[in-house]
Amino acid sequence: MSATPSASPLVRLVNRLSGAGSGHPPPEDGPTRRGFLAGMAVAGSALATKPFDFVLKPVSAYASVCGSGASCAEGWSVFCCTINNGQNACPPNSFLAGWWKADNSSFCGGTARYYLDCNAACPTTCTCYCPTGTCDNRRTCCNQFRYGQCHQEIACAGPVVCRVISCVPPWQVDSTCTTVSATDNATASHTAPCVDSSVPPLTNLEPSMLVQHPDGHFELFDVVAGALVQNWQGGGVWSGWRTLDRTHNYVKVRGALTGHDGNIVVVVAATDGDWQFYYDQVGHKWHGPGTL
Amino acid sequence: MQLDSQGIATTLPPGWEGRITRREAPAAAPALGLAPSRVTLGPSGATGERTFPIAHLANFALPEERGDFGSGAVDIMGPGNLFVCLFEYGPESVGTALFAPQGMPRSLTPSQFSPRALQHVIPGQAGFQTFFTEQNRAFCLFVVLGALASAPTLVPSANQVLTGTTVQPR
Repeated sequence: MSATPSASPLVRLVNRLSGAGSGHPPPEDGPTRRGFLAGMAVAGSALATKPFDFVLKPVSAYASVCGSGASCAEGWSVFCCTINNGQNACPPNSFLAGWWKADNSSFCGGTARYYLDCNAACPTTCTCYCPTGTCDNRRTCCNQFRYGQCHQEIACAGPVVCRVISCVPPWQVDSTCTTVSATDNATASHTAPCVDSSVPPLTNLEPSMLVQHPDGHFELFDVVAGALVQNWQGGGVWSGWRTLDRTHNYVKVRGALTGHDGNIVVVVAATDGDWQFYYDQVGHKWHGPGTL
Repeated sequence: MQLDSQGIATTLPPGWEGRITRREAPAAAPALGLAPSRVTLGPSGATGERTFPIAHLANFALPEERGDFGSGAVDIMGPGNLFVCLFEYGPESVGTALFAPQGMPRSLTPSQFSPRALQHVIPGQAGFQTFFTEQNRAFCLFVVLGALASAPTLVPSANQVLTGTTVQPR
Protein backbone atom coordinates (compact mmCIF):
# COMPACT_ATOMS: atom_id res chain seq x y z
CA MET A 1 0.00 0.00 0.00
CA SER A 2 1.41 3.39 -0.90
CA ALA A 3 1.71 6.06 1.72
CA THR A 4 -0.56 8.72 0.39
CA PRO A 5 -2.63 9.47 3.44
CA SER A 6 -3.75 12.89 2.39
CA ALA A 7 -5.24 11.54 -0.81
CA SER A 8 -6.80 8.42 0.55
CA PRO A 9 -10.56 8.36 0.85
CA LEU A 10 -10.09 6.12 3.82
CA VAL A 11 -8.03 8.69 5.60
CA ARG A 12 -10.53 11.39 4.77
CA LEU A 13 -13.13 9.30 6.48
CA VAL A 14 -10.91 8.75 9.47
CA ASN A 15 -10.33 12.46 9.64
CA ARG A 16 -14.00 13.11 9.55
CA LEU A 17 -14.69 10.65 12.32
CA SER A 18 -11.81 11.88 14.41
CA GLY A 19 -12.67 15.52 14.10
CA ALA A 20 -9.24 16.30 12.71
CA GLY A 21 -8.70 19.97 12.18
CA SER A 22 -10.74 20.85 15.18
CA GLY A 23 -7.70 22.21 16.91
CA HIS A 24 -7.08 19.39 19.33
CA PRO A 25 -3.44 18.42 19.46
CA PRO A 26 -2.47 14.80 19.44
CA PRO A 27 -1.11 13.42 22.66
CA GLU A 28 2.58 13.82 23.11
CA ASP A 29 3.30 10.34 24.27
CA GLY A 30 2.15 8.38 21.27
CA PRO A 31 2.36 8.14 17.53
CA THR A 32 0.32 10.43 15.37
CA ARG A 33 -2.17 9.28 12.81
CA ARG A 34 -0.10 10.69 9.96
CA GLY A 35 3.02 9.11 11.28
CA PHE A 36 1.27 5.84 11.54
CA LEU A 37 -0.08 5.93 8.02
CA ALA A 38 3.37 6.65 6.70
CA GLY A 39 4.65 3.73 8.65
CA MET A 40 2.08 1.48 7.09
CA ALA A 41 3.89 1.78 3.78
CA VAL A 42 7.05 0.17 4.93
CA ALA A 43 6.27 -2.11 7.73
CA GLY A 44 3.59 -4.34 9.03
CA SER A 45 3.29 -5.74 12.42
CA ALA A 46 1.46 -8.85 13.32
CA LEU A 47 -1.70 -8.38 15.23
CA ALA A 48 -1.63 -9.94 18.60
CA THR A 49 -3.96 -12.80 18.03
CA LYS A 50 -3.90 -14.35 21.40
CA PRO A 51 -7.50 -15.24 22.11
CA PHE A 52 -9.22 -14.44 25.28
CA ASP A 53 -7.85 -16.43 28.08
CA PHE A 54 -10.32 -18.95 29.12
CA VAL A 55 -11.37 -18.45 32.68
CA LEU A 56 -11.26 -21.77 34.37
CA LYS A 57 -14.45 -22.44 36.15
CA PRO A 58 -14.99 -24.48 39.26
CA VAL A 59 -16.15 -27.98 38.62
CA SER A 60 -19.55 -27.28 40.05
CA ALA A 61 -20.16 -24.65 37.38
CA TYR A 62 -18.49 -26.51 34.57
CA ALA A 63 -21.55 -28.37 33.41
CA SER A 64 -23.33 -25.12 32.65
CA VAL A 65 -20.64 -24.24 30.12
CA CYS A 66 -22.20 -26.50 27.53
CA GLY A 67 -25.72 -25.13 27.73
CA SER A 68 -28.83 -27.21 27.35
CA GLY A 69 -29.12 -30.55 25.59
CA ALA A 70 -25.51 -31.45 26.28
CA SER A 71 -25.91 -35.03 27.40
CA CYS A 72 -25.65 -37.99 25.11
CA ALA A 73 -29.18 -39.05 25.96
CA GLU A 74 -30.65 -35.77 24.78
CA GLY A 75 -29.70 -36.66 21.26
CA TRP A 76 -28.17 -33.48 19.80
CA SER A 77 -25.02 -33.43 17.70
CA VAL A 78 -21.64 -32.52 19.16
CA PHE A 79 -19.63 -29.38 18.37
CA CYS A 80 -16.78 -29.91 15.96
CA CYS A 81 -14.17 -28.31 18.19
CA THR A 82 -14.93 -30.99 20.80
CA ILE A 83 -13.96 -33.86 18.52
CA ASN A 84 -11.71 -32.19 15.95
CA ASN A 85 -8.65 -31.19 17.95
CA GLY A 86 -10.24 -27.93 18.96
CA GLN A 87 -10.88 -26.85 15.38
CA ASN A 88 -14.20 -25.27 14.60
CA ALA A 89 -14.27 -26.95 11.20
CA CYS A 90 -15.49 -30.11 9.53
CA PRO A 91 -13.29 -33.12 10.27
CA PRO A 92 -11.85 -35.16 7.43
CA ASN A 93 -14.35 -37.23 5.47
CA SER A 94 -17.19 -34.87 6.26
CA PHE A 95 -18.63 -31.84 4.51
CA LEU A 96 -20.90 -28.91 5.23
CA ALA A 97 -24.35 -30.17 4.36
CA GLY A 98 -26.64 -27.51 5.77
CA TRP A 99 -27.22 -24.93 8.42
CA TRP A 100 -29.66 -23.27 10.77
CA LYS A 101 -29.57 -20.30 13.06
CA ALA A 102 -30.68 -19.16 16.45
CA ASP A 103 -31.76 -15.54 16.64
CA ASN A 104 -30.49 -12.85 18.98
CA SER A 105 -27.61 -14.89 20.30
CA SER A 106 -25.46 -13.56 23.09
CA PHE A 107 -22.64 -15.61 21.58
CA CYS A 108 -22.67 -13.37 18.52
CA GLY A 109 -23.17 -9.95 19.96
CA GLY A 110 -26.94 -10.21 19.93
CA THR A 111 -27.17 -11.19 16.28
CA ALA A 112 -27.89 -14.58 14.76
CA ARG A 113 -25.68 -17.52 15.59
CA TYR A 114 -25.25 -20.06 12.82
CA TYR A 115 -24.88 -23.81 13.22
CA LEU A 116 -23.38 -25.59 10.24
CA ASP A 117 -23.74 -29.35 10.16
CA CYS A 118 -20.84 -31.45 8.97
CA ASN A 119 -22.29 -34.66 7.59
CA ALA A 120 -20.22 -37.73 6.87
CA ALA A 121 -19.26 -38.23 3.26
CA CYS A 122 -20.56 -41.35 1.52
CA PRO A 123 -19.70 -44.13 1.84
CA THR A 124 -19.08 -43.70 5.50
CA THR A 125 -17.58 -45.83 8.17
CA CYS A 126 -18.53 -43.27 10.75
CA THR A 127 -19.92 -44.93 13.87
CA CYS A 128 -22.17 -43.44 16.50
CA TYR A 129 -20.66 -42.43 19.82
CA CYS A 130 -20.71 -39.70 22.42
CA PRO A 131 -17.34 -38.20 23.29
CA THR A 132 -16.65 -38.09 26.97
CA GLY A 133 -14.16 -35.77 28.58
CA THR A 134 -16.03 -32.50 28.43
CA CYS A 135 -19.58 -31.48 29.17
CA ASP A 136 -20.22 -31.39 25.41
CA ASN A 137 -21.18 -35.02 25.49
CA ARG A 138 -23.45 -34.73 22.49
CA ARG A 139 -23.52 -37.23 19.68
CA THR A 140 -21.29 -37.73 16.70
CA CYS A 141 -22.23 -39.86 13.70
CA CYS A 142 -25.60 -40.72 15.21
CA ASN A 143 -28.18 -38.41 13.68
CA GLN A 144 -29.02 -39.14 10.07
CA PHE A 145 -30.39 -35.72 9.28
CA ARG A 146 -29.51 -33.05 6.75
CA TYR A 147 -30.50 -29.41 6.64
CA GLY A 148 -29.71 -29.37 2.98
CA GLN A 149 -28.62 -25.84 2.08
CA CYS A 150 -24.95 -26.66 1.41
CA HIS A 151 -23.26 -28.82 -1.19
CA GLN A 152 -26.47 -29.63 -2.95
CA GLU A 153 -24.37 -31.16 -5.70
CA ILE A 154 -23.82 -34.05 -3.27
CA ALA A 155 -26.93 -36.18 -3.01
CA CYS A 156 -25.66 -38.66 -0.48
CA ALA A 157 -24.80 -37.69 3.07
CA GLY A 158 -24.07 -39.79 6.10
CA PRO A 159 -24.98 -38.84 9.64
CA VAL A 160 -24.07 -35.54 11.25
CA VAL A 161 -20.50 -35.77 12.48
CA CYS A 162 -20.51 -32.45 14.29
CA ARG A 163 -21.56 -28.80 14.21
CA VAL A 164 -19.46 -25.80 13.21
CA ILE A 165 -20.34 -22.52 14.89
CA SER A 166 -20.22 -19.16 13.17
CA CYS A 167 -21.37 -15.62 13.69
CA VAL A 168 -20.93 -15.11 9.96
CA PRO A 169 -23.70 -16.19 7.61
CA PRO A 170 -22.94 -19.66 6.24
CA TRP A 171 -22.91 -18.62 2.60
CA GLN A 172 -19.93 -16.44 3.46
CA VAL A 173 -18.23 -19.37 5.12
CA ASP A 174 -18.81 -21.76 2.23
CA SER A 175 -20.06 -20.51 -1.09
CA THR A 176 -21.91 -23.75 -1.74
CA CYS A 177 -24.35 -22.87 1.03
CA THR A 178 -27.48 -21.11 -0.09
CA THR A 179 -29.04 -18.21 1.75
CA VAL A 180 -32.26 -20.12 2.46
CA SER A 181 -32.74 -19.71 6.15
CA ALA A 182 -33.73 -22.32 8.72
CA THR A 183 -34.31 -21.37 12.33
CA ASP A 184 -34.20 -23.36 15.54
CA ASN A 185 -34.03 -21.14 18.57
CA ALA A 186 -34.18 -24.19 20.83
CA THR A 187 -30.46 -24.61 20.24
CA ALA A 188 -29.55 -21.06 21.23
CA SER A 189 -27.83 -22.04 24.46
CA HIS A 190 -25.95 -25.02 23.05
CA THR A 191 -22.23 -24.62 23.30
CA ALA A 192 -19.02 -26.32 24.40
CA PRO A 193 -15.90 -25.41 26.38
CA CYS A 194 -13.86 -25.15 23.21
CA VAL A 195 -16.39 -22.67 21.86
CA ASP A 196 -16.65 -20.67 25.04
CA SER A 197 -12.90 -20.34 25.34
CA SER A 198 -12.91 -17.97 22.41
CA VAL A 199 -16.10 -16.09 23.16
CA PRO A 200 -15.91 -13.60 25.99
CA PRO A 201 -19.03 -12.29 27.64
CA LEU A 202 -20.10 -9.24 25.66
CA THR A 203 -20.96 -6.69 28.26
CA ASN A 204 -21.20 -3.65 26.03
CA LEU A 205 -23.33 -4.79 23.16
CA GLU A 206 -25.00 -1.56 22.19
CA PRO A 207 -21.98 0.09 20.59
CA SER A 208 -20.81 -3.05 18.83
CA MET A 209 -20.00 -2.49 15.20
CA LEU A 210 -20.41 -4.88 12.36
CA VAL A 211 -18.46 -4.03 9.25
CA GLN A 212 -19.14 -5.59 5.92
CA HIS A 213 -16.38 -5.68 3.36
CA PRO A 214 -17.14 -5.10 -0.30
CA ASP A 215 -16.70 -8.83 -0.89
CA GLY A 216 -19.41 -9.53 1.63
CA HIS A 217 -17.61 -10.90 4.64
CA PHE A 218 -17.92 -9.32 8.03
CA GLU A 219 -15.87 -8.12 10.92
CA LEU A 220 -17.32 -7.36 14.31
CA PHE A 221 -15.84 -5.04 16.91
CA ASP A 222 -16.89 -4.49 20.48
CA VAL A 223 -15.73 -3.31 23.85
CA VAL A 224 -15.61 -5.99 26.50
CA ALA A 225 -14.65 -5.12 30.04
CA GLY A 226 -12.67 -2.14 28.81
CA ALA A 227 -10.83 -4.07 26.12
CA LEU A 228 -11.29 -3.59 22.40
CA VAL A 229 -12.07 -6.91 20.77
CA GLN A 230 -12.42 -8.07 17.21
CA ASN A 231 -13.90 -11.08 15.48
CA TRP A 232 -12.34 -11.61 12.12
CA GLN A 233 -10.76 -14.34 10.11
CA GLY A 234 -10.50 -12.93 6.68
CA GLY A 235 -13.81 -14.15 5.48
CA GLY A 236 -13.40 -17.72 6.63
CA VAL A 237 -15.04 -19.29 9.62
CA TRP A 238 -14.69 -17.00 12.54
CA SER A 239 -12.61 -18.78 15.07
CA GLY A 240 -13.64 -16.43 17.82
CA TRP A 241 -12.84 -13.18 19.47
CA ARG A 242 -9.42 -11.75 19.91
CA THR A 243 -8.22 -8.78 21.85
CA LEU A 244 -7.06 -5.79 19.87
CA ASP A 245 -6.00 -3.75 22.84
CA ARG A 246 -6.19 -3.77 26.60
CA THR A 247 -3.84 -0.89 27.26
CA HIS A 248 -6.62 1.67 27.55
CA ASN A 249 -9.99 1.66 29.17
CA TYR A 250 -12.28 1.60 26.18
CA VAL A 251 -15.83 2.75 26.50
CA LYS A 252 -17.37 2.27 23.12
CA VAL A 253 -16.77 1.63 19.46
CA ARG A 254 -17.60 4.75 17.53
CA GLY A 255 -17.31 3.58 14.01
CA ALA A 256 -15.63 1.36 11.53
CA LEU A 257 -14.63 1.92 7.97
CA THR A 258 -13.74 -0.11 4.96
CA GLY A 259 -11.64 0.97 2.03
CA HIS A 260 -12.61 0.60 -1.59
CA ASP A 261 -10.49 -2.48 -2.05
CA GLY A 262 -11.81 -4.16 1.05
CA ASN A 263 -8.36 -4.77 2.36
CA ILE A 264 -8.38 -2.18 5.05
CA VAL A 265 -10.73 -1.87 7.95
CA VAL A 266 -10.25 0.83 10.51
CA VAL A 267 -12.15 0.76 13.76
CA VAL A 268 -12.50 3.91 15.81
CA ALA A 269 -12.79 3.28 19.54
CA ALA A 270 -13.22 5.82 22.30
CA THR A 271 -11.64 5.66 25.74
CA ASP A 272 -12.77 7.21 28.99
CA GLY A 273 -10.21 9.95 28.49
CA ASP A 274 -11.89 11.45 25.46
CA TRP A 275 -9.34 10.08 23.09
CA GLN A 276 -10.06 8.01 20.09
CA PHE A 277 -7.89 5.17 18.99
CA TYR A 278 -7.73 3.74 15.52
CA TYR A 279 -6.80 0.24 14.53
CA ASP A 280 -6.58 -1.49 11.26
CA GLN A 281 -6.91 -5.17 10.74
CA VAL A 282 -3.23 -5.89 10.50
CA GLY A 283 -2.50 -4.42 13.89
CA HIS A 284 -1.52 -0.83 13.20
CA LYS A 285 -2.69 1.64 15.74
CA TRP A 286 -2.77 5.37 16.13
CA HIS A 287 -4.84 7.86 18.05
CA GLY A 288 -6.20 11.33 18.19
CA PRO A 289 -8.63 13.53 20.08
CA GLY A 290 -12.31 12.86 20.11
CA THR A 291 -15.35 12.84 22.24
CA LEU A 292 -17.74 10.15 23.19
CA MET B 1 -59.84 -29.31 7.59
CA GLN B 2 -58.21 -27.66 4.62
CA LEU B 3 -55.18 -25.41 4.57
CA ASP B 4 -54.03 -23.51 1.52
CA SER B 5 -51.20 -21.04 1.66
CA GLN B 6 -47.91 -20.24 -0.06
CA GLY B 7 -48.75 -22.56 -2.92
CA ILE B 8 -49.18 -25.55 -0.64
CA ALA B 9 -52.62 -27.05 -0.02
CA THR B 10 -53.56 -29.89 2.28
CA THR B 11 -56.61 -31.65 3.54
CA LEU B 12 -56.19 -32.85 7.09
CA PRO B 13 -58.09 -35.68 8.74
CA PRO B 14 -60.10 -35.04 11.90
CA GLY B 15 -57.87 -34.47 14.88
CA TRP B 16 -55.06 -32.99 12.83
CA GLU B 17 -53.88 -29.43 12.70
CA GLY B 18 -51.32 -27.60 10.65
CA ARG B 19 -49.51 -24.38 9.90
CA ILE B 20 -48.24 -23.23 6.55
CA THR B 21 -45.99 -20.29 7.25
CA ARG B 22 -43.09 -18.33 5.95
CA ARG B 23 -40.76 -16.63 8.38
CA GLU B 24 -40.12 -12.95 8.00
CA ALA B 25 -36.88 -12.33 6.16
CA PRO B 26 -34.31 -10.06 7.79
CA ALA B 27 -34.59 -6.43 6.84
CA ALA B 28 -32.31 -5.15 4.15
CA ALA B 29 -29.22 -3.36 5.34
CA PRO B 30 -28.30 0.05 4.02
CA ALA B 31 -26.22 0.08 0.87
CA LEU B 32 -22.55 -0.22 1.58
CA GLY B 33 -19.97 1.94 0.00
CA LEU B 34 -17.06 3.92 1.16
CA ALA B 35 -19.15 5.63 3.77
CA PRO B 36 -18.76 4.35 7.30
CA SER B 37 -20.26 0.95 6.92
CA ARG B 38 -22.09 0.24 10.08
CA VAL B 39 -24.43 -2.63 9.51
CA THR B 40 -26.93 -3.58 12.13
CA LEU B 41 -28.28 -7.07 11.92
CA GLY B 42 -31.86 -7.59 12.85
CA PRO B 43 -33.11 -10.27 15.15
CA SER B 44 -33.82 -12.63 12.31
CA GLY B 45 -30.37 -12.97 10.80
CA ALA B 46 -28.25 -11.37 8.14
CA THR B 47 -28.95 -9.38 5.05
CA GLY B 48 -29.38 -11.73 2.15
CA GLU B 49 -31.14 -14.46 4.02
CA ARG B 50 -34.21 -15.74 2.28
CA THR B 51 -37.15 -17.60 3.68
CA PHE B 52 -39.52 -19.99 1.96
CA PRO B 53 -42.73 -21.73 2.96
CA ILE B 54 -42.76 -24.33 5.70
CA ALA B 55 -45.70 -26.62 6.43
CA HIS B 56 -46.07 -28.34 9.78
CA LEU B 57 -48.84 -30.90 10.00
CA ALA B 58 -49.54 -32.98 13.09
CA ASN B 59 -52.13 -35.12 14.80
CA PHE B 60 -51.53 -33.27 18.05
CA ALA B 61 -51.61 -29.68 19.21
CA LEU B 62 -48.65 -27.83 17.74
CA PRO B 63 -46.84 -25.46 20.10
CA GLU B 64 -46.40 -22.00 18.66
CA GLU B 65 -42.67 -22.00 19.34
CA ARG B 66 -41.24 -24.48 16.88
CA GLY B 67 -38.03 -24.92 15.02
CA ASP B 68 -38.39 -25.14 11.28
CA PHE B 69 -37.86 -28.90 11.39
CA GLY B 70 -40.13 -29.38 14.36
CA SER B 71 -38.07 -28.97 17.49
CA GLY B 72 -40.39 -27.99 20.26
CA ALA B 73 -43.16 -30.02 18.66
CA VAL B 74 -41.44 -33.39 18.46
CA ASP B 75 -40.42 -33.01 22.08
CA ILE B 76 -44.02 -33.28 23.25
CA MET B 77 -45.07 -36.12 20.98
CA GLY B 78 -46.59 -39.22 22.46
CA PRO B 79 -46.27 -42.69 20.94
CA GLY B 80 -49.41 -42.21 18.86
CA ASN B 81 -48.40 -38.85 17.46
CA LEU B 82 -47.23 -38.00 13.99
CA PHE B 83 -45.45 -34.89 12.70
CA VAL B 84 -45.02 -33.95 9.04
CA CYS B 85 -42.77 -31.12 7.85
CA LEU B 86 -42.46 -29.74 4.35
CA PHE B 87 -39.57 -27.28 4.05
CA GLU B 88 -39.06 -25.44 0.78
CA TYR B 89 -35.69 -24.32 -0.64
CA GLY B 90 -34.88 -21.68 -3.20
CA PRO B 91 -35.29 -22.04 -6.95
CA GLU B 92 -31.51 -22.39 -7.32
CA SER B 93 -31.84 -25.82 -5.70
CA VAL B 94 -34.00 -27.17 -8.48
CA GLY B 95 -31.91 -29.36 -10.73
CA THR B 96 -29.22 -30.11 -8.18
CA ALA B 97 -28.33 -33.67 -7.29
CA LEU B 98 -29.85 -33.41 -3.84
CA PHE B 99 -33.25 -32.47 -5.24
CA ALA B 100 -33.16 -34.72 -8.28
CA PRO B 101 -36.00 -37.02 -7.18
CA GLN B 102 -39.22 -35.85 -8.77
CA GLY B 103 -42.44 -35.73 -6.81
CA MET B 104 -43.26 -35.89 -3.15
CA PRO B 105 -43.35 -39.46 -1.86
CA ARG B 106 -46.86 -40.37 -0.80
CA SER B 107 -46.52 -44.08 -0.18
CA LEU B 108 -44.12 -44.39 2.70
CA THR B 109 -43.49 -47.72 4.37
CA PRO B 110 -42.58 -48.44 8.00
CA SER B 111 -39.23 -49.81 6.93
CA GLN B 112 -38.22 -46.37 5.68
CA PHE B 113 -38.30 -44.98 9.20
CA SER B 114 -35.31 -45.08 11.48
CA PRO B 115 -34.67 -44.05 15.09
CA ARG B 116 -31.54 -42.31 13.80
CA ALA B 117 -33.25 -40.24 11.12
CA LEU B 118 -34.07 -37.40 13.47
CA GLN B 119 -32.77 -33.89 13.95
CA HIS B 120 -31.93 -35.00 17.44
CA VAL B 121 -32.57 -38.46 18.72
CA ILE B 122 -35.53 -38.84 21.03
CA PRO B 123 -35.91 -42.31 22.50
CA GLY B 124 -38.67 -44.31 20.86
CA GLN B 125 -39.22 -41.92 17.97
CA ALA B 126 -38.34 -42.60 14.36
CA GLY B 127 -37.96 -40.35 11.36
CA PHE B 128 -37.87 -40.25 7.61
CA GLN B 129 -36.27 -37.51 5.54
CA THR B 130 -36.05 -37.04 1.80
CA PHE B 131 -35.39 -34.25 -0.67
CA PHE B 132 -37.36 -33.87 -3.89
CA THR B 133 -38.67 -31.49 -6.50
CA GLU B 134 -42.34 -31.02 -7.25
CA GLN B 135 -43.85 -28.46 -9.60
CA ASN B 136 -40.36 -27.10 -10.12
CA ARG B 137 -40.10 -26.33 -6.41
CA ALA B 138 -37.44 -27.92 -4.17
CA PHE B 139 -38.54 -29.43 -0.85
CA CYS B 140 -37.47 -31.54 2.06
CA LEU B 141 -40.06 -33.89 3.54
CA PHE B 142 -39.42 -34.83 7.16
CA VAL B 143 -41.81 -37.15 8.98
CA VAL B 144 -41.51 -38.11 12.64
CA LEU B 145 -43.33 -40.96 14.33
CA GLY B 146 -43.94 -40.70 18.06
CA ALA B 147 -42.94 -44.33 18.34
CA LEU B 148 -41.34 -46.64 15.85
CA ALA B 149 -43.48 -49.39 17.30
CA SER B 150 -46.56 -47.49 16.13
CA ALA B 151 -45.35 -47.34 12.54
CA PRO B 152 -47.92 -49.84 11.20
CA THR B 153 -50.72 -47.48 12.18
CA LEU B 154 -48.98 -44.12 11.90
CA VAL B 155 -47.40 -44.52 8.47
CA PRO B 156 -50.75 -45.04 6.71
CA SER B 157 -51.98 -41.86 8.41
CA ALA B 158 -48.92 -40.03 7.13
CA ASN B 159 -49.61 -41.31 3.63
CA GLN B 160 -53.19 -40.13 3.85
CA VAL B 161 -52.04 -36.63 4.71
CA LEU B 162 -49.35 -36.64 2.04
CA THR B 163 -51.84 -37.81 -0.56
CA GLY B 164 -54.05 -34.92 0.42
CA THR B 165 -51.23 -32.43 0.10
CA THR B 166 -50.52 -30.69 -3.17
CA VAL B 167 -47.93 -28.21 -4.35
CA GLN B 168 -48.83 -25.58 -6.89
CA PRO B 169 -46.29 -24.21 -9.35
CA ARG B 170 -44.90 -20.78 -8.58
